[in-house]
Amino acid sequence: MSRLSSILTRNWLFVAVLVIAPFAPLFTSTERMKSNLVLITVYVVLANSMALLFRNARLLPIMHGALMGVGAYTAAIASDRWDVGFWGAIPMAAALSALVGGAVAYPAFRTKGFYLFMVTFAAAEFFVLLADNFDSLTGGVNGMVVTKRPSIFGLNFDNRQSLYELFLAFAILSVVIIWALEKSPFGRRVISVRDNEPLAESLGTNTRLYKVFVFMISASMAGVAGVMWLYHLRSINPDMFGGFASFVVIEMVIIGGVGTLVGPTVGALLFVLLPEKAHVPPDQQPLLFGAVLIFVVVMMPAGLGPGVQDGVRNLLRIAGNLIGGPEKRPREVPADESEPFPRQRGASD
Amino acid sequence: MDWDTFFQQWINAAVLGGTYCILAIGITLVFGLARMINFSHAAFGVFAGFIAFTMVGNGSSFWMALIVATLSTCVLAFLLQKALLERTLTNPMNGFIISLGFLLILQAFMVDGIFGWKLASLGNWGMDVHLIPAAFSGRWEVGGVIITHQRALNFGIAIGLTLLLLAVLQWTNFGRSVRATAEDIKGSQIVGVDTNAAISITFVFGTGLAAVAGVLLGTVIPFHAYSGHQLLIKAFAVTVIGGLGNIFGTIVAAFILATVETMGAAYWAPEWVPAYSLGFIIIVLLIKPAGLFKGVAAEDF
Repeated sequence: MSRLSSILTRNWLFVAVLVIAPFAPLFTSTERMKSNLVLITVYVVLANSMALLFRNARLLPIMHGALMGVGAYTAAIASDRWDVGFWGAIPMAAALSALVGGAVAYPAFRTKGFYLFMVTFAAAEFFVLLADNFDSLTGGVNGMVVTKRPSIFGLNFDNRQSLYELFLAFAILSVVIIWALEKSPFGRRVISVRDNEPLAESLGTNTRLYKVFVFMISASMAGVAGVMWLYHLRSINPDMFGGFASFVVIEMVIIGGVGTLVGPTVGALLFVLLPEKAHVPPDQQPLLFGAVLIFVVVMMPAGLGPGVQDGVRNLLRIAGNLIGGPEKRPREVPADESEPFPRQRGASD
Repeated sequence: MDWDTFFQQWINAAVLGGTYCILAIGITLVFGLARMINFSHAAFGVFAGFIAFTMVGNGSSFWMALIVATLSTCVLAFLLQKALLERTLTNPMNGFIISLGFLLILQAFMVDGIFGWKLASLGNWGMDVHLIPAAFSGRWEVGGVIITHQRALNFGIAIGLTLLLLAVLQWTNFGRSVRATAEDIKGSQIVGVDTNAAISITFVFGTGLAAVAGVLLGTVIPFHAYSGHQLLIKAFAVTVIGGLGNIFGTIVAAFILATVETMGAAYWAPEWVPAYSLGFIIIVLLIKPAGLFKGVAAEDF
């Protein structure tokens, strides 16, 4: 039990969020804000799925929009044909996205860098084309709708607030997954592949397979995000899930930064709240995000996450100093959090 | 066998190939020099198309519109390069992300101005579909094959510019410095080549070529603010198939892709046309992970 308590104290910020977040709807007054809260949770899962990949494998595939679409369409078709509902759809969507992701990733990881980016981008756009043209299955360009809300043991998640609480659990789970994965032996292997691929290969790790596994996990998270998206919006169409939609995920992750666990969440929060608070019309939103993206890359390459984290820590340190007691040193940012794309320390350096 | 249609498609493919060629050459040049990809490359082309459209709408001649559109795009590209992209030469991935941000800004500007600020004299761009009126409206008929003057002009301009580029690269001092920079940046710097200038000028010139491509395409295919998406995919398909950094490969790949698209649209299924470039990318890269022809091997980020 003391080990758990030490874990909790080290990650106190996370615990604080865990405690405060469920009460967030109390601070909102309009339906629109509640809907935004739900959207935030979906984006958090999505951002974390990408962050998992980027943190641990430094891969930049541009197809999470399509993977989300696979999940969303699986859920929509399943609920349409077999009346499966939310809880049945989640494992189906996760499994199918993982499969699709793995099927694309395994051959695609023969390519590197920009070529990998192009292959995944093309695959994502291809998915949109497939969804557009197989009308009988997917409803074509008009998309599909789902009418029910998730329910468990007869408890209906009818209104936005309850949907938020449910999705919040998923969002928190997505962060925990990243954290747990990195601590696990599997995660360490993946990090070793990221840090020095030739070395890992020489030690007998099948690097391509590990990268594919991580991709599959990331893909299944994106698929679950897709199901959440479906039940949030209740109607989907293929245009939401193309290559350019996948960029939204990348933007969130870069703006928030992947060095910290909280970074992607910050990115997701910014993505939803900034246009809301600044009253930016949907047409202009890409412009806003483009500007923020450029600003972050030029001025704060590590993303906003470390800034937020340090900011909160500093605030609390100052508060602690005011109250009195032993002074603690501020935590230093480790080297690999200072750039979004830190250079590989490879054998050739 | 309908020979007329067959030859007609070949003509169309040639014209389209020329346009794809100048669209994509800028990307492959810049990548070969600086390992950087400008994601807003195709959007610059659409931007030029809009400017040309507005100018022709206000009464200028086609040539004037073409020149002004290309020059303004070059200026914009120059600003982007100097202000932002030059800082990222050591870390091209950041440059790529910046260009992605710029694409969003440029596209939003084309749709609806920046928070309502538009170039008022330019009228309304946005989501409407536009087509630039052709400079010449005649046509030749060879047998059963129709060649409009405008398309022939497009082809001529495209080929002419490509040959001009090749000549510059091969026979001028500047071209030599560009080739040297592409081969070995540090070595070139040691012998005194101004690599920054080489990269900047190539970037601006490459984007200018994309602008011309945008205007030329705008005369035959209707476009709107988001046409950049499709164009970008095709441009990337061409560069990736041809091998990033390999100019000859890009030229050949441009015509291959144009042929596949035109023949596929005519003889198979038109709604799958976007799939051809996508499928091409996927299949070619899976068979030859560094492009069909020898290109610069991209590294992991």
